[in-house]
Amino acid sequence: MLNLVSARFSALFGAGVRIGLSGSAFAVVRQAPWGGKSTILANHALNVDHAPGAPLTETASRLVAQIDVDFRAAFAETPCAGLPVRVVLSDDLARLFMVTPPQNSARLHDIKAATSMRFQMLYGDLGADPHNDWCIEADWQASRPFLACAVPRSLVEALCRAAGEHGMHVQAIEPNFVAAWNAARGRIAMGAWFGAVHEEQLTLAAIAPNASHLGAVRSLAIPADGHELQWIEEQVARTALQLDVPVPQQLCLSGNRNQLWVDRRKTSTAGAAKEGLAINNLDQGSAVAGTVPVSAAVLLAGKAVRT
Amino acid sequence: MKRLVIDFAPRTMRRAIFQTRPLALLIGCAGLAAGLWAGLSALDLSKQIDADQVQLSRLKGKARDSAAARPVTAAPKVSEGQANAVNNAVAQLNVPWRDVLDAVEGATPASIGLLALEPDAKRNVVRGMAEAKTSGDMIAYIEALKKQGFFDIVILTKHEVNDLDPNKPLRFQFEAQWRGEGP
Repeated sequence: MLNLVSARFSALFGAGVRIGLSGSAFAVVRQAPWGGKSTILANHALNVDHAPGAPLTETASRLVAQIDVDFRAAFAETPCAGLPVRVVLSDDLARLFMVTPPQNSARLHDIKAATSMRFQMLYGDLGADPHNDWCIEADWQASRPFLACAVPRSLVEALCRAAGEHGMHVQAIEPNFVAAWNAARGRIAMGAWFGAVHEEQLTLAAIAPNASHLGAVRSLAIPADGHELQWIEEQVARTALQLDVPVPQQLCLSGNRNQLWVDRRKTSTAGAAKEGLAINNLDQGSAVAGTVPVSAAVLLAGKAVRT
Repeated sequence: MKRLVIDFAPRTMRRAIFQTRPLALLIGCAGLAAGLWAGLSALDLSKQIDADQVQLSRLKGKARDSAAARPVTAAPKVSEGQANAVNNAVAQLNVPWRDVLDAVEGATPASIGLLALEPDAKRNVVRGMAEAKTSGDMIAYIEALKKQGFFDIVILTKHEVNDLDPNKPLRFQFEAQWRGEGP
């Protein structure tokens, strides 16, 4: 009882549990209060048959079965009852898409209906009921296109149930792109584009010149030769052509593996007359991308902070 | 860049409390405490006002009782004669002597001998008796009295030659009425 009260009190001063979950890895980090030391409670690959092209609902149902086991293992020795939990899901567990609000929308309900229709149009295979099988949340806007995100409902419910069974309550469940954007939004230069990298996936955000909000979003799988500079430049140019917007001069990246592009840009421009796309690693020097190499799942968990 | 608000966590009261910044939480708690204090103060004041109302109504009742118990003193009975005498005395006292004398003195030349002045307070009239050498002096004197703003009406009531006096002066009486104060 005393431990529970102590945990709830320390939660007011920043203590909490951060969870990073992708289709193939799971990490739990316990954050001490007052910005104290973080402790990694779990960090391992998941024994889930996660095929890159498999429907997300199938991957989610396999993860759901695994989550209870992982929670029990993570909190067996270090109970965290009473602490708030923040979860960051990798972008391969979420569907990110842009929605243009209908011009005659009068209520939030209209915009939500338009979002459901857009989701059905983009991903609605599938015989699945979007209302029962998916949770759809968005950065609701009435006057401009906005980002929406869909996550398998079973995954959200499994996370909440598992946290509740261990005496914790879920305070936030965000996709990696949203967590990275919110953490880095103050450092994105005007006119630059933003990208969130996690393992072999890049989520690219196009931002209109002189705009301070997201214009479009593209999820790209990084191929084997994707860490060559040419690949990222081609992707940015192609996305700009598709969206009919000017090619940006700068790309701000957050996540793992992006330092490779930064280093190659430095090498290629040394002594070159023409400068190409400038690549800026927003995580360089931050606590997330420290000198000690950490797994991608721990990096995800590290982004689960209140911004 | 603007923040993206996308969160799949269930909306619960506990989550809302933890999402609140400590400063906002502190301000909220301070506001709640201030509201509580204000409410308790209002309750105390309300009770005090009720008690004061009760005391006020008790004091009003007491004042009413004491007013009812006080004996009514009978007005002294005054007879009609006494009342008339008192009224006459008051009227005599209220005669504007200064104004009457100023007006008469202002109109009386050296050729006129003023023998008597008798006020009649009921009618706002002063009766005078005077002597003049000639009838012209008498008429000029009456006209002079009329010109005094204080008097409204001046009437010559009687005149005769005083044969007993060797100078044969013209003795006359007049009445001068001044404007009353109104009822």
